[in-house]
Amino acid sequence: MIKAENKISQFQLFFLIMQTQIGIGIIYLPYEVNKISGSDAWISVFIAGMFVQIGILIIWLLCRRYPEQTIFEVMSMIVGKPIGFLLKVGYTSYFLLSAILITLQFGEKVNTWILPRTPIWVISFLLIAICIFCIKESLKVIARFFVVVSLLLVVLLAFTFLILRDIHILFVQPIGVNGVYKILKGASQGSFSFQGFESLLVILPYCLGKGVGKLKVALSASGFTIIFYTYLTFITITYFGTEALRFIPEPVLYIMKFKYLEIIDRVDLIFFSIWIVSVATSVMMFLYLASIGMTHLFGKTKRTPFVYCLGALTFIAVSLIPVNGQVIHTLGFTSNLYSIIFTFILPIILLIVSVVRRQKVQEDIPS
Amino acid sequence: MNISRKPILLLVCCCIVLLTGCWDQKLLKDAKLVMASGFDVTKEGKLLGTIVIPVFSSSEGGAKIAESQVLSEEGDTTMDIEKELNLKISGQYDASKMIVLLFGEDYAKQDIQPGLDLFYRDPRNSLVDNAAVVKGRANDLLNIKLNEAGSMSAYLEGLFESAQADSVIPRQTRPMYSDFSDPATDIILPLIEALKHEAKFIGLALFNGSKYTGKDLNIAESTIYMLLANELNKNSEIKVKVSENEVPESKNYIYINVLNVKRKFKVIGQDVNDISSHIHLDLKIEVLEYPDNYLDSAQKIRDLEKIISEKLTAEANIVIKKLQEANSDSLSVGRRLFAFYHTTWEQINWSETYPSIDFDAKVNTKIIKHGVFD
Repeated sequence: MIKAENKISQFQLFFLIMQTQIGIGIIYLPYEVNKISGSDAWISVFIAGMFVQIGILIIWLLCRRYPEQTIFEVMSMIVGKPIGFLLKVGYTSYFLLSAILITLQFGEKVNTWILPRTPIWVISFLLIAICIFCIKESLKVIARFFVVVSLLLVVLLAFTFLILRDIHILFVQPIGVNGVYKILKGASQGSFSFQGFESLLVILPYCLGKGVGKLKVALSASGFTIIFYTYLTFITITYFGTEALRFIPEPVLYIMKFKYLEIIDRVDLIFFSIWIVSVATSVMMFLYLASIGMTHLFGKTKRTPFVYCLGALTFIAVSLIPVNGQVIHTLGFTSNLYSIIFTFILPIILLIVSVVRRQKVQEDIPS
Repeated sequence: MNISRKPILLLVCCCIVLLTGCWDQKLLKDAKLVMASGFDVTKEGKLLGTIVIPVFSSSEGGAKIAESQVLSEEGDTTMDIEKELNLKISGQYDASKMIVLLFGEDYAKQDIQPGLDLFYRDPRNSLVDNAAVVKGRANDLLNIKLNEAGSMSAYLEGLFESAQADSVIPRQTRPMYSDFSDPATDIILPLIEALKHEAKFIGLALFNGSKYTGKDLNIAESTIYMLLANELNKNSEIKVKVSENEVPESKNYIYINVLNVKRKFKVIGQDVNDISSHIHLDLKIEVLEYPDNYLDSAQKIRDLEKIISEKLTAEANIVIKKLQEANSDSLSVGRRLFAFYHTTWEQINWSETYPSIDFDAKVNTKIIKHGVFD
């Protein structure tokens, strides 16, 4: 049972999900999807978002049956201890891998864009240190932090308004020219940028309120991310054109680099600094999830030692993995595979098994 | 002080040490800021780069830019030149604040894209938004001894800004690379000329892809072009010859300023062999100067509107003819064909079709202001 005072409100749940989803994808998602689905990339991103909404629905259906338990407890109940243990290891390592990958990508982007001579381990160390500092606290504290930094998203959005008068809508026409296959293929690629909604598996029981209300909050948080990402993809395509976008891996930063205001010369650096916070929130969430997984794996109650341990693990991994495009690509591919299994397939299987075995914990009594 | 605060204080001190960012510091005192540069091609086919570095001198009112240092160097690529130049200057070559980039006529005719790669690749470099083609050599222009005080780069920047405000040259709203890579549109760059003690815009240079075609629009045509492209900035002053044989000569002309443009741009292309395009402009204008007559009756104004519309229509069609002759689709007709008649687009080779399509313009004007005098 989770104590009532440790629970978060639905308002906080909204920002937790949104901030976990919005992260590294901001700057490279339009490029990745454009490479596959060309000028229809924005449609792909939107469709990818719809996949994710379905994923959220599945997770919610699963969690609704066990309103007071996190996925780590639920798994053993559904499939038994031995398999449950394996799944726990799987989920924990998935969350950890996600955190490592984001940190790695973050290090690479910072290295290429602003700090070319600073060793990447220093950059990742700073990021991980901040994350540890935050996630050793309870979810409530993390949630508060996420709510506060969401203000920065407004600034981020405001920067993109700068270019609205220079976009050419003609670049996305004719709509659907690339064909359904390419659009869907782009969508499957794009859906990985929405990673983070699976945090619901763990944090849903921490949230106060009725089941349906939680679902609405989760869907609208993810909906916001969908709109944000679709908007970003749309403006980058209409600004550069799909042909040019093929060669610009970080299009949003590139736009910011070209634009300058009277008093601010390199808008891209400011954009970058704010974006760092969004990345940090994603890493925090994944590390937090991994730390909960670890706590369950070892059957302990204190989480803090695991936080330090995971932080160190991430740091070591990031320092040891050579940062180059090839490695990140391979890791990204693995992580995507993982992500399909752990965010879509496993919840579905667990849900089916749970339904078949007619397991159901009573709906939570209002406290 | 509270005892428990001490470790925190210690931690803060440690953090301060970490915050200096020793690896990536770039001090302004070590850097030589290149603010303008130009590319030419030499007789041997090598690249000739010319750079302008403003020289700061300290005076009582703080640092002032007194003059500029102009250097040039030959090489095979942009980076090659940068490396050679770096050996010549006292400090690190730093092009991150570059504001003006000029291409010599012959260089632009070859291809301007390869020279730009460095600007697109290096995250620190600026993505120059003021680029122009020089009638003659960029090197000569950058070496002009200016009458105005100040550096060459500041002078050129000012030149660009005022010409953009007058809607004579287009504002660069996105990196040139976008236009190069787009098969359905061409770039257009301002054309600038070196005079004895100053530089002057003389029109627009028409490009096909990333190659200068050698064909230009003069200033009057550029102004019309800017209206056709719907890129009216602050004002757009146009001279129109409204009558013949008046004495003195100045009585034949009227000067108008365009206040508002409404553009209808139609492209029709169901049939591969019959692609046509039509631009309709509705201009709201103000009379700036009209030496000949008084504008005291509505009839006179209507007549004048009619004549101006006819003259501007004729001029707009000349501009379009010139664009087609140069095979420069900077008005993005191709983009519209691509968007609205995609099947047609896929069947044709646009750069072969474009010069022969049926493309015309019609201008309608309405005088809504004529100053404080009839």
